[in-house]
Amino acid sequence: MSQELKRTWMNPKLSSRREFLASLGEGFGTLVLSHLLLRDELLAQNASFALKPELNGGLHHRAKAKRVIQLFMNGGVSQIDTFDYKPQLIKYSGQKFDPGPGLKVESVTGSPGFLVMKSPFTWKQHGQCGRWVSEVFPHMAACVDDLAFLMAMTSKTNVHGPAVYQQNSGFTLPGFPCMGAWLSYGLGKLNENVPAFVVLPDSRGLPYNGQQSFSAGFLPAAHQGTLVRATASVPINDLFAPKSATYITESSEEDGLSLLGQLNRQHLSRWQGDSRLEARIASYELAARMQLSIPGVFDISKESEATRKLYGLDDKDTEDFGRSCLIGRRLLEQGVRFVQIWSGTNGATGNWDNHSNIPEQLGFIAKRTDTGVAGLFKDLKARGLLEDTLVIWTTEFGRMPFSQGSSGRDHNGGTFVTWLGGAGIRGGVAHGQSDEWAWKSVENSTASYDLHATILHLLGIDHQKLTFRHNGIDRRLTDVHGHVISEILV
Amino acid sequence: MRDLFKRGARSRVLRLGITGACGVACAWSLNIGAQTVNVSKLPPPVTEHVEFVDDIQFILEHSCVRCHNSAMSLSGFRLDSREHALKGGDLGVDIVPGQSGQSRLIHFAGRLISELEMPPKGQGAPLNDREIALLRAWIDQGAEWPSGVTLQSRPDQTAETDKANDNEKDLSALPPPAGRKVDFVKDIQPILTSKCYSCHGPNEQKNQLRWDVKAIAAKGGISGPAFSPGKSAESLVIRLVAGLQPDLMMPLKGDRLSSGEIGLLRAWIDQGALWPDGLDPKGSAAPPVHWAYRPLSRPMVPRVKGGSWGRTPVDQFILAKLQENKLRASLPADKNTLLRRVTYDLTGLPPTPEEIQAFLTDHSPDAYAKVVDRLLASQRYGEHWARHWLDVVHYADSHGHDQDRPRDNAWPYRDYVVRAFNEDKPYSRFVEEQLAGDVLFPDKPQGAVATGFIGTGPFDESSMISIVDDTLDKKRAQSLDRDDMVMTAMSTFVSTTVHCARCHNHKFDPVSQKEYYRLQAVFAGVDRADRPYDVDPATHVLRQSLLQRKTALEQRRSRIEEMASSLRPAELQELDTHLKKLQQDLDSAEKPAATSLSKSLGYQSQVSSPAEKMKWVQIDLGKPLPIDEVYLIPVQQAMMAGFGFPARFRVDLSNDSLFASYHTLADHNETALPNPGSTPFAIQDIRLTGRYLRITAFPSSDKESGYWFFALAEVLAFSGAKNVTAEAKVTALDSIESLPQWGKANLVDGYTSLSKLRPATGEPGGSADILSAIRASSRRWQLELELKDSKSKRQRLAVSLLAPALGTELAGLEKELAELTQRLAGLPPSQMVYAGTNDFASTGSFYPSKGVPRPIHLLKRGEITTPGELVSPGALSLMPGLAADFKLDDSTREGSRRTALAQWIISPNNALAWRSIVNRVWHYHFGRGLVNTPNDFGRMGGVPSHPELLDWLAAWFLDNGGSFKKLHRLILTSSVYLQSSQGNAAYAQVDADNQFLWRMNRQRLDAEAVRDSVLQMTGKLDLTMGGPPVKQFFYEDPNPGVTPIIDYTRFDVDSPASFRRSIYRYVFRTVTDPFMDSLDCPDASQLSPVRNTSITALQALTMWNDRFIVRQAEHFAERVSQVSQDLGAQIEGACELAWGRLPTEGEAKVLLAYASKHGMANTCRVLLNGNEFAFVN
Repeated sequence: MSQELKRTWMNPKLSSRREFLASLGEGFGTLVLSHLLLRDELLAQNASFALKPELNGGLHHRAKAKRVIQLFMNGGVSQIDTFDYKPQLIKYSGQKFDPGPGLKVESVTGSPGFLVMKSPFTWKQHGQCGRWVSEVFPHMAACVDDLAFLMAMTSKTNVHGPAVYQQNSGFTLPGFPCMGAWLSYGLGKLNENVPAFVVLPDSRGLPYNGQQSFSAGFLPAAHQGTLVRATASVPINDLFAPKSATYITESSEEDGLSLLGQLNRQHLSRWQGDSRLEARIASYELAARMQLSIPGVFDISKESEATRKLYGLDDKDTEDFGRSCLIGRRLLEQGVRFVQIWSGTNGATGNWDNHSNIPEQLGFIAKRTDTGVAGLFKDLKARGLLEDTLVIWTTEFGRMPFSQGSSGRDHNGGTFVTWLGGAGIRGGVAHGQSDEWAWKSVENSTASYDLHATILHLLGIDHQKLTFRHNGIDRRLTDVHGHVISEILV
Repeated sequence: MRDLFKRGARSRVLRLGITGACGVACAWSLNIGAQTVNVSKLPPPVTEHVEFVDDIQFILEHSCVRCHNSAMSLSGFRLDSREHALKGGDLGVDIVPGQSGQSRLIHFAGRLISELEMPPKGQGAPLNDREIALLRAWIDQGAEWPSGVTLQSRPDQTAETDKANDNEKDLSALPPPAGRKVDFVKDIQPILTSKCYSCHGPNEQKNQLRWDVKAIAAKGGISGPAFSPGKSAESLVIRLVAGLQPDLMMPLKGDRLSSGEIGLLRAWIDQGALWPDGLDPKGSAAPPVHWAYRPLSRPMVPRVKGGSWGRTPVDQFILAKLQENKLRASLPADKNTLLRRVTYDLTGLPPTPEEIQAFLTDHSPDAYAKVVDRLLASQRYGEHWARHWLDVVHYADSHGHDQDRPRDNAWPYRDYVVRAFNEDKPYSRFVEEQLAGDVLFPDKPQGAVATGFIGTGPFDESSMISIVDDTLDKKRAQSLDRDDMVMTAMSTFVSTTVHCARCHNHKFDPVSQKEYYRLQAVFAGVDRADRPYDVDPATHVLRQSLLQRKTALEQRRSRIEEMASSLRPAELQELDTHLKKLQQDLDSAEKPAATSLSKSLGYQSQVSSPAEKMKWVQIDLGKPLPIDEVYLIPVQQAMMAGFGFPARFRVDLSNDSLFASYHTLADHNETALPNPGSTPFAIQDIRLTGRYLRITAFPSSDKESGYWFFALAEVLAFSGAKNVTAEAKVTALDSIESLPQWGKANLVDGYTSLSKLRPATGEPGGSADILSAIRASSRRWQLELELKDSKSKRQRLAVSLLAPALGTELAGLEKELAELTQRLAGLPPSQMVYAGTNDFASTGSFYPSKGVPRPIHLLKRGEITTPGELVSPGALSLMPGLAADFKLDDSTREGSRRTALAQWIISPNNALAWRSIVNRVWHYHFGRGLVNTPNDFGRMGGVPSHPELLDWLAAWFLDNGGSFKKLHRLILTSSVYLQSSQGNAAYAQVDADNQFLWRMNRQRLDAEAVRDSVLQMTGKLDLTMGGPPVKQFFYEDPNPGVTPIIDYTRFDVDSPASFRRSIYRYVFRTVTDPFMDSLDCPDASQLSPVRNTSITALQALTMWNDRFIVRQAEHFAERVSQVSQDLGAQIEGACELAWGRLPTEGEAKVLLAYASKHGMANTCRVLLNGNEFAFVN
């Protein structure tokens, strides 16, 4: 994409289609135009095209993935008790943690003691690849040959709020667009009748930073995550008029939208040359189509018994998260570009922030999620969706190899684990390594920037080229960093 | 020395019992700034013994000392003597004896850190593996360096020879010199400008070379001369641009030189490198000054043909540009359109039918001017324009970040801004008050309120208050907190993106990293917190004078007490020894660990009047058990330790649930205890048996009136090492039972209000852990009490030994102080505003500066781990004629720094500031600024469409006392503003953006305008001004530890809070109102100089289905039904309210048909969704 075109398109002020077309000047094919227009959803007249067929929906190069589902474990999953097996911890368990002279051991919420604490769980190697997984994830363990593990992820900060921002938006501060918003902005929609970016929070509440974690930041509001409460009676806000408004009937609705269209078209005929007026007419037509297409996604009554079991809907502990995963799959099938499912709320409990009791707290929340995550992965694979769908399991940071209280662990941005599977990912590999304690990463460290660069890469986007000018800076999801982690790609 | 290091390393290894310690140490990865260093990539150290003189000196002298010596210590680092080498440079210590893996010297030499590779590219060959291995071994073996050995740089003979060989070898690869006479200005300077200046020019001088100044270019940079006249093939510049040095191809960034260009350069050198004098840039600023930094030009108003169109000087500037671009202005808008436009523009509301009627029937020539005056005089004006300002400064009523705590005292600042606009406060005063009102106008209470500006950004409570002090995460958060203050001030007032210079010099604008940190120093003594102020100015003045007197008396008292303390008579000797011992004990006592807050707070009784003489809570242990120790753990509420801990209480143990007979374990009924804060109250060595443990609280005897209650976080009772209260049954006289925070059961749930104490009972070691922590904590508290006690005892004794006159004076002081305290207490209570302040109550690890600025270091790459030089406060030097240095009399007081910045901004010479503000005003009137990036006037920002007009307006505004209302009047009565917004296809071809203003811009209503208009149309709008924000949401969690649970969908849209103007709604940063979101109400975590105006399907769904709109449509119908029974008349009334005009015949017909079938409520809902309502023509 030429520099000139990029800058024009990035100008948020060009909201009128006519102004937009005029500003582009000559020399660009209609394909490019219509693709760019789709970004501002209502300026799009049809959705069934690609920038260039050979790019397979990508923006800068051929895309391997068309859609993404991310499972975000809020609170900081202990790598030490899940995927990062360290015999050293067994050997020195109970002794004072001393990584060596001159190394300062910091603990942000003030761990007393600093005694080395082994994982209380039993470990086994799984699959052809022989990946170590603790007993807390029996179902995920069965998928390891299809997954690529980043064993040395790092976080700039050890505090939840900033770290959750970091993993979602690439910045530790609020107000920056998250990855889903960037994808919506960069790639537009796969299906015009559903939002591009949907978020399913934990049914018990929102994660750290609340809705800010899926904010469009300074990007246009159209790109922010659509919040779906999978288990609520009204899963999407304002999709339909409230039942309390009895004056609204099916026929008043139909006639009303038609009258609105009529009045708006008359208005348009008086005020020529402003495409926003047309766009607003189209927006009501699209809204009406969404009313038809979305409710079906939440009706899981027709899913087979086997499917329900696969997602853990038959067990009260696993049902909740499993339902989110199942609805996540259905959203992907409907053409949602990016689905983000959260496990864990903000606050001191009900998440992966296991400061006081790893055996009980981590064991329980792991059980809540394991069946659903693995069920989703297997289901996507069985349905062939995994061919062009990317699945990501991640968290904001890891935990300490030493104890907090008697059996908890404090925050640790030094190393943690993320895995990816599906489109374009090489299964059964692990990239990066933490030290003997799983305290700090020592080999092939990766950060949010690298993960985001890799995800964008799989979607056909060069992370350095997807930019938006804000407050004097061409902002990117990856700030000024980021390397595609080619070692985990096919 | 060497042996010592070895021994140290070994003993640590032994303690851990690890073999192969070196392998362990080498595997650590370290964070150097943002980069992780992977030490495993390094060659391992050699195993043999290394001798400095034989093995190391050579390496250092050939590769390092050239740039790190006494004459040139780059990065503050010298490697010519042992002392300097071990001391390190600006980045800190570079050699850690015994730890080569930790030594930066090795990281740099091993090329682990890009951009910090040593020697730098072009400054010598990289060290080979053997050399690194030797250096590592030398460091690991203790970095031995025989005394007296100093190193000298030695030219690298081998490399020179190699170079010579290369020369011969590669000469054929060089493009030949151009075969003609070359002229420096015509041929050479263009190449240098386009290819070299970005790194070796006015803004940057990489390797200390600059190519735009003759003398420097001729001398060369660190690498020596860049060219030797007459010898192009040997000249460094030619070798580098031709790529003969593979690791250093110039330019490093950007396009390479073509062979033609290299040929020209060669020819120029070969022809003698002739460089005419007088080409050097004037001073240091070589390029012409960027438009934004030039002094205000005060241009003449242009005389234009056809100038009769224009009513104001503004129009002449517009007309001149239109004519230049062969465009014409549009016809004036009709009166209905005009009235709706100007009413929304100034008040954010539509005109009422009465106002429409009045304007349509007023045919006087000044009818429109009267409307403008009426609107400017309306209080609604201040509300609407304050909302613009609050966007720019990212105002909200909550902290943001993960613990998005309500910021209940933000609103006084919001009200201040509303008042400032309504009172037409001069702009310079507006700026001064917001940055330093407390310092500049100490007699005016609103001075302190205005500094709400400094507090307005997000606050990262987790990092600033809750986490442990002195960690990197904490320091990072403090720096970022200040960054927000700097960014907000400089974006708002001077439209400059200084925040780009946090990690490096600004890439585009003349803002150095040092200047950025000088601005951080301006805010180095101020934090965001609640500060008190008096609404009534007289009270304010009185309180200030009383407080001043009080401070003076207290100072005198301390002086006398000091004299007393310095007495060392024999009478006090014993007591002093005791005090010393206590202090020692306290210093060596274990410190309690800080933790984060948990949701379960504990038990809390009901609130009772003093008539109620006691309250109790009781724990049933299930069976009689021997009890050894009991601990009462106080509640740590978010901001308050020891919340509800009784001053008077008793603890009893009994075998009888009714306590007919009992043992008293502790009795503080008679003697009240000071509040223990967060420290547990301990009863030890009990050795009694019982089943029921009861804590009885009594009302404080020193409080004669007032209600009381009591609260405890947790009660532990130990039988041996086992806590027996876990999961026990709890009963109480009363309990507020507000779960999850408060409940009887929370008293023994294992959670203090800070964190979980222990795992389930029976966990080996668990209880003992807790017990020892609690014991330590409680011991500490006892020591503190005793120390305090003994100190005051000593004080009393010492005073009695002073001269009698002093004793009398002290008594007088005490008396007057008591009176003052009483008078102060008798004043009406102060209110709080969340603002910038240097004095507030400490919470967690968040302390006030008390007015003494904290030291600010330049942070290399913006990283807290790499502090550089200490900087002093200052502003920007980008404007010629405006000094960046503050001439501070007393830089040690933080307030003087803020004052200096305010005065720098409002200086008449600060053209940037005056341009910035008039451009903002223009932006809100026309939907687009004369510069379309209101927060960025730098090189990457927009270019003014009408630069002369911008300067003329800025000067006019300055000359007119910075009066906003005068400026509005000038703009609103101009012909350019009065134009129609009708499109024109031919003009759109020329100027699609309408930057030359050949028509008025049509604007979409913003979120607040939509909400407020609907309320005005339905007659529901409540015009009450100011005060605490109204919660337009359902509030589930009135007393939260973290972000409260709020739900917009459960809010009663018919409650009074729903009817206030939107500027008064409670704005949460992280839990935003979905209705306002969908209409692009901005994210209050970011500065929003320009609002997005998106059009989306979700927005359509919101406008069509949201509970507020759907319900208001009913109110709307009801209101028009009161006008007339006739449906046709109702429709006319509704259209006039929604559109500002009557419907056409055709419109009336279709609306009537629909209304007859589906009713007026449905019809009104359609009107509220129409384009005619959503846009202002």
